[in-house]
Amino acid sequence: MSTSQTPILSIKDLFIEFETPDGAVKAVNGINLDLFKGEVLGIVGESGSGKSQSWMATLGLLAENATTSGEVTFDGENLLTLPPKALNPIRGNRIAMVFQDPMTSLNPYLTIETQMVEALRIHNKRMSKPDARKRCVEMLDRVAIPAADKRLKQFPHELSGGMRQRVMIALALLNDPEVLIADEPTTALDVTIQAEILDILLDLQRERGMAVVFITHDLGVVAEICSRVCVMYAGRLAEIGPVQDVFTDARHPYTLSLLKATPRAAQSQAAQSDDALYAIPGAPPNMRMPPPGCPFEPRCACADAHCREQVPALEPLQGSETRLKACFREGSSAALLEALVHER
Amino acid sequence: MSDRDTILSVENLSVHFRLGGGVFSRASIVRAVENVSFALQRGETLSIVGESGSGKSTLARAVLRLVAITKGSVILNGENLAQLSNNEVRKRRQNMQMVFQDPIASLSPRRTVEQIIAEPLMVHQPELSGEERSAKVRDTMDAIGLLPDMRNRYPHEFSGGQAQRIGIARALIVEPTLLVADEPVSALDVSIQAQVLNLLSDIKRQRSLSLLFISHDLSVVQHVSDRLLVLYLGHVMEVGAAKDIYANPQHPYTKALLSAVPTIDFSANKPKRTRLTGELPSPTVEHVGCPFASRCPMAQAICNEQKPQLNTVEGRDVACHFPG
Repeated sequence: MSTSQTPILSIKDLFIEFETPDGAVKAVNGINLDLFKGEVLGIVGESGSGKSQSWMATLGLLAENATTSGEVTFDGENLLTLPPKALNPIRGNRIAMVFQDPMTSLNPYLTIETQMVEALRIHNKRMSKPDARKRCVEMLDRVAIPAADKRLKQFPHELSGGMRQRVMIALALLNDPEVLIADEPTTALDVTIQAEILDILLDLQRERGMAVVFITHDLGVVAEICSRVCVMYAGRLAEIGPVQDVFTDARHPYTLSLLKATPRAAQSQAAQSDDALYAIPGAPPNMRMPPPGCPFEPRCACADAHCREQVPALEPLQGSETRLKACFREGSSAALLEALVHER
Repeated sequence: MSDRDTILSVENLSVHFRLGGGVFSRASIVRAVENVSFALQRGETLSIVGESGSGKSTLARAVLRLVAITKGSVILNGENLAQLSNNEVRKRRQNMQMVFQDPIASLSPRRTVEQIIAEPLMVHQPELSGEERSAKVRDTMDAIGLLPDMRNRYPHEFSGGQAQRIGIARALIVEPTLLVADEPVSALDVSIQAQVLNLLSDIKRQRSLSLLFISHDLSVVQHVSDRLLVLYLGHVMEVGAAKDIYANPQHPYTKALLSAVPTIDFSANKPKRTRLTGELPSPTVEHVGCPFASRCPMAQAICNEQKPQLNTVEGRDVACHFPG
């Protein structure tokens, strides 16, 4: 991804806090990120890292107890401050979203047809019902749903999980969005169905030149479909860069720890199943009281006193235009790995 | 199968459920597990893999006789559980314990950690004094990496990873010979998952425990398994040494399943994917031929007519007319 391009969507200094009876949860703590046209950007992180919330915020979908600051710029406007009336022509239309659980994101009382036609006509007031219906059938065909005509008449509970997720994707793509945000869209599915749906998603992405934000905790999926990856920890960005570079030469200790904690089913690699996995010690920080320094410091094998006191900024790697990391520690992936192994 | 170190031997096991069947409708039979045989040695981990609906959890539950066995036998330490009364089975459960998928939901919210971990002792070793019980709880917690001051806390105070440790401690306190773990790490984040997987492999080694491991995550399975059993619609497709199957799967279904796993592999010779089309057929149909034929890229006429039997191919058992 060349940096000379202008981003289609740009996040600046995004902070998100949730007010709770036990104090404010600082879910997202200053994110700066650009999304470019036609790229597939993977967002990885564990539960509570803020990976979903930062993108829910862009569409105004946060819970009511949330407060945000910063900017999300899309087509010259700051989405965070737009009133719902001005946001509605954008979300579901120019920026669409697919959620993890297709059963709870489809309305169980309405047929697939009613839901799809509504999604089309709400943004295209003059489209006739038969035209809308025709477009829905085309879209269902496109996501490889057999007998689309018949499926339109069915209710969500009559479809399998894989079929429902295809419907969700068809629904999201009906209005030809420029940006698709996919939040763990295949996590609930079997690997065989996941593989099929990822293929469909990638085909559609290439065909339409749309930008896709793919939120997941599965590093394997990111390696297979994304061009860039952004690793999040405790509401901050730890590392960003082209997927292959980041995964083969991780420069942030968290990225490397995550890679070493992931069991690999690699058919081409000699089985590494005899080694113990690297278990990152401890647990993610309590986001009501995040540590004052680097959030990963308490679990990090490479941390020193400096890391405890100051939060490292996200900065470009020396000599690289495409990679950034937020860590004081310099040095190669191999040097970091030594620290991990030494700790064990 | 007469090996002295065989802990568990499952022979021709079938589990069927009746579905529906009221005044106005005819009942259908769900064939969740169909004619499955395998053996588990002491200190060995056998993993059962398959898509959702393949019957892997039912198979595990049938082994513990948590569901009724329709046909076949489950021989644990030389005794056929299928022929024992419920009461007799309950006594045998000391030897076979289970760890569940959802760590928080599987712990009673109104009991302290000590009470939860001690409960199996109350059932299986009621003769122990309170003192002895506490000592056992302490030892087990220590072995699992739970701190002594957690004893009086409640499940909701723990993270998923800690809660799963409590679940494992509860299972191990009666020193079972067989541990059944049904998706024990699928609810956990990667970094926590690694902690629990390492723990399971440590205790397995230390106690020469036999582990029946159920998971849909084939990367995790590769990491923990000695042997692998691939299940499709309740039928065994392929069973053998995990290393061999991962390196060189012989059944078309195993091939498709393994090739669908997303991997971090940027090499040029990355294996190509075998695509499956369609979804799992209904489990209420009784199959004359191979149950996988409707989705199999290799299927021929015979596959729909005749059910393939398990045959030894490349050192493991494969149920396919055209293996390789």
